[in-house]
Amino acid sequence: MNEGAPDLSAWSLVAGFLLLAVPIAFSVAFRLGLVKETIVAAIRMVLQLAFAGVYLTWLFKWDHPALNFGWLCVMMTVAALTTVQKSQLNLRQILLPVVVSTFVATIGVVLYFNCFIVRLENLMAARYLVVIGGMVLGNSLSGNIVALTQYYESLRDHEGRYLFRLGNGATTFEALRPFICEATTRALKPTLAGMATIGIVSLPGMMTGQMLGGSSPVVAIKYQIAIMVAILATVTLGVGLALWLSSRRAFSRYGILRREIFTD
Amino acid sequence: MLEEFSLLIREGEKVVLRGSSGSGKSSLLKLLLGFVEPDQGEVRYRGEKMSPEVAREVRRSVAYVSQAVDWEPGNVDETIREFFSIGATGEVPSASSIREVLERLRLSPEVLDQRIQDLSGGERHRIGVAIGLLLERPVFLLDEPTAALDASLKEAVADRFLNRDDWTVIAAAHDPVWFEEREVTIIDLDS
Repeated sequence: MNEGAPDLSAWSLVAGFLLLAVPIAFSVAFRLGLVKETIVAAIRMVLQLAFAGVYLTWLFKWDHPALNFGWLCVMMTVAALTTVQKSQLNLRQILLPVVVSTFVATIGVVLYFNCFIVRLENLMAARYLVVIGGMVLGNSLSGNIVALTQYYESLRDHEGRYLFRLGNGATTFEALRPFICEATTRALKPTLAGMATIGIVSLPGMMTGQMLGGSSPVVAIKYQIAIMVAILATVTLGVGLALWLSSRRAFSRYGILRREIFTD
Repeated sequence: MLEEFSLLIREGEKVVLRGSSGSGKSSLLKLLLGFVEPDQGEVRYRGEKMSPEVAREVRRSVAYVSQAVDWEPGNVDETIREFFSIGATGEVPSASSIREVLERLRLSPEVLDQRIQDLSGGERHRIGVAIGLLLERPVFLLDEPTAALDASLKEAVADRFLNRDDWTVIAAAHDPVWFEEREVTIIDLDS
């Protein structure tokens, strides 16, 4: 099982793109208004993946620890920026806590993965640091967006619930606890659902990619198990830190939610 | 909203803040709890100027009954008990004292097994009043405590809060049951 997947010719890619006809036809038939969005998304995907192809080729070629780590930092910063923007929160107020939480969760779990699971001599090897980092980061991004949106929207909508607890002697953390629990649960559910159905409902990208690349299914499955747990750990750690650190900025000294953290 | 306003409340005093909607009754309670900071002037509690530390002390020593508590969905009994698991609220009251307070508020004990979101607005409000009474704090901050209650029950709730000499009560209320024929200090915010 050492043969890699056969290369795809330009005609193969064109054949692949022909499948776009299905969502486009569906959008036209039902007037969903998604034709433009579908085409733009497809173009963005091609450009972004082409860019990824270029940088990954060079990163793998040079494989310099500082460069690899620097690139992971760029990825994490973009992820943090996207998280704050998609959560409709004020960039100036909330970016730093989200950057810190993303960096700590991603770097912590990826280094643990490389050191104790794969047992690499070079923890900064591009093939692991950037690739595994990218995988956990993508999931962490989704989790953080869900958690931050749910947390702050819920606090804004149910402020009376929070103030009732606060006004009767609860500490800020005690009054926030139900909101933290709800936001964390919502953020973790997709990952937990993915873990619960993996192998039956879905064959994840990492596993299929490894098998297409020539790895045996047993090796691919072992990696998949490890990466799923790593993703769950990153999302939990990232969400927990993002909620905690952002709360320190989002509330006044009196424990009152600052309205200026919202962009809308 | 409040200009040239000064008020000194002594221990055991019963103060009723009266005024039309938007006159600042609820805002005054929020000032006392540190939920809003005054643009000018100051709030003092036991002689100490309001600060985050003083606000925490105030919140630990008052029972705050807000106008319309936005309850988290859940069982009534668990909601009450969970409330007492948060810090500084004291021990969880016994089942008999919870039932006694509920009965005083004309809520049947069966309500404990129901979901709070299934109760009527008036019943949900009375659960908030019940928690306030169960807290047994020396100071009560009440925001429209008899809203959504029928006439006889309004009287009973007002009696319960105003007849204890050792309780300090500050109530934002436009309902006459809180100030007619009662020995209370009335602060008319409209004037």
